[in-house]
Amino acid sequence: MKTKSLLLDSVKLEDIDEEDVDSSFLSGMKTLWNRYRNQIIMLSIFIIITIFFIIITYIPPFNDISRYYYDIERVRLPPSPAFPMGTNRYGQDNLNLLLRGFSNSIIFSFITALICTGIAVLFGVIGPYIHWTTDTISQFITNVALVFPVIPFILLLAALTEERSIYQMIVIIALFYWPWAARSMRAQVLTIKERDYIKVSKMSGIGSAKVAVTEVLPGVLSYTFLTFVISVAIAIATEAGIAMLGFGQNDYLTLGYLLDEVLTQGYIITGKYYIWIPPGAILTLFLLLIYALHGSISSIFNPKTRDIA
Amino acid sequence: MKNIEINPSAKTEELQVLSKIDDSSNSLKNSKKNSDKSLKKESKYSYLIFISKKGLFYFLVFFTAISLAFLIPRLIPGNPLRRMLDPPPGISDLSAWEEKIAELTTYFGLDLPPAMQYFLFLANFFMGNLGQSLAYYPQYVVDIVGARLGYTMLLVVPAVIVTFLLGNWIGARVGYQKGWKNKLGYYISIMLQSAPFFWISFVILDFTVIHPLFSGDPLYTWGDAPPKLVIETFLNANALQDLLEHWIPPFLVLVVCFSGGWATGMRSLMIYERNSDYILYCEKLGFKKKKMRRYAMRNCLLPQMTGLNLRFNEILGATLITEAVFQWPGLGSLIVYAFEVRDYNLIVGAFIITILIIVIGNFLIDILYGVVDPRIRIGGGNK
Repeated sequence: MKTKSLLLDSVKLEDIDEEDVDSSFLSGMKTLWNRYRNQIIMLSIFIIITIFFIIITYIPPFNDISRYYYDIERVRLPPSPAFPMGTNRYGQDNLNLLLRGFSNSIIFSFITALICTGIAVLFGVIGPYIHWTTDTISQFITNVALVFPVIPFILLLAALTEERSIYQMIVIIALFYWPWAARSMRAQVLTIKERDYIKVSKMSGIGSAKVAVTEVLPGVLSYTFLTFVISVAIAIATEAGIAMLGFGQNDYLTLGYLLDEVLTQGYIITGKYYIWIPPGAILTLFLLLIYALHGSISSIFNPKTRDIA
Repeated sequence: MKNIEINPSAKTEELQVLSKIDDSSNSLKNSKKNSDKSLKKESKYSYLIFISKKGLFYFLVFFTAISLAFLIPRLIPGNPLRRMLDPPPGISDLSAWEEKIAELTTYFGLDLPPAMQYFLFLANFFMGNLGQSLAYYPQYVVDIVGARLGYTMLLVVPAVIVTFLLGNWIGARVGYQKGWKNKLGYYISIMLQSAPFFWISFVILDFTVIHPLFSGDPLYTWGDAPPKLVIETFLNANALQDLLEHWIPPFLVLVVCFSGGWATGMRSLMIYERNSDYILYCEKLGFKKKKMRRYAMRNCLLPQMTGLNLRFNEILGATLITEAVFQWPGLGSLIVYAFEVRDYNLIVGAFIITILIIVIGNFLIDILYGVVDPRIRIGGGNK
């Protein structure tokens, strides 16, 4: 730690004139804004949209519980001002279902992505760093998980269980969608491992697990964030794809359930575009936002692609 | 080599590339020292080791997966037969049903000790016996799955090849452009990448099959009897056209949704490659743009090929779901059907065959990688 600060001091003294250094908060923010304008805009759009869709289900016109009730009076209504997307076979308001499903999907995918990223860090950063044996083990586990047939496995598991909870879905998706991230994290870690500051902190007698967390992990933190973002996209899409076939959980309304209704109720054949276009379109736009965010953030780390995208 | 500009973050990747180059040049130097004969021997030997290592690894993966297929149904509490066979409705005396369950339990060997069951399961599997289907009763699962396997492969194999070629071609073109063309191509490929294939399959289903744009009538010609995948079908013009008409929509879904990922990856690799020394030198010498792009693309294809395994698994999973949407008579719709009628043997059988496809496919891709990358074939440069 001491050496680090010493190094910084020496740089400051020799290379930087005092006039150049404007240490006020405002100018710091200004540089940040100038340098990472696109990224900041994308990230704030992402956060705003996510929060918007999560809280919209608690705001008056959409938090009306009675719109989720079974009502024989209003079964299969076409779109009208009261029900902009019509009603389904139980008389539930499709728009309310869509918003609720989407916000549930977002919450689901965030939790799953958190677990996923945690596992990726465990097998991609901490495992490879500590010792070569742990590296070998974690690499083997990564390789097995990488080729493990996930979707058939989920289909098998779903077919064998009658009652499926959302937790089961979270665990399964989180358990199998981390290896790609762990692999690329490992490559980063192996280069960081050889840097001088790691050797210094090793020599100062800090335990290797602590070094892995306090010194190596910050080096791949940016990558961890990217992993999290992509994991959100993977989780939300995978869950929707599985639930679409009716293999999903039966206690939690997500976009996948709405797509499942489309298939089982034949909304495509009867041409009910107002029911089957919105769930997919909203999912596509959300995924597009995530991938665009990923692209813009990763251009910070790959400077050569910066001027182009 | 010396004046590569080192950016703080680009450094790591370039270091990797440099270390790889160093490795390979060292191994080349070492191998030059040896006589030609020993070189040949060594190369054959190392490739064999590579293949057998991979083979062992995939066998382990396969073994784990089928062990899970054995274990999971048995870990879920309760007799699976009770879950599958509902008691007859409206009858209070269930003794006959209980008797039937007990009889079937003995018949399927579910009352044997677990180790014995596992041994029998493995023995049966390696003799090619996956049991009998309940839904199509006297038929064997192997026969049913085998009949459906061809349809799945008919979608998966062309889809993997076409998306790889198409996506990389688009990515290379886009990555070598500068300015707005690059940007536009990037956004288009990101849009393709982010499109959820299952919803795109709804869209394509709508405008190709149910409300067709090009021909008048919806396509419901197969019903329950799809054509058999024998040589006669492919030789008969009418049958082939019929098959193609049904094949194109799901294939289109896979191509549209899985080319984008390749394209974005290829694009960023090409941007790196575009600024490398040899391309700049070629530019100064006045090479044609097309030729330089081809050189750069060749170098980028190798790292792209390492992603082929992952894409193959992804596309196979997507195919299973797409099949169910289009009622394409492959493994995916078979699994969905078996799920609906709760045909446990059929589900497990289809699962095992799917794993087999994945494992064999990945093994072949790894072998292919060895063929394409001389560092693996000759030996040396193995990390």
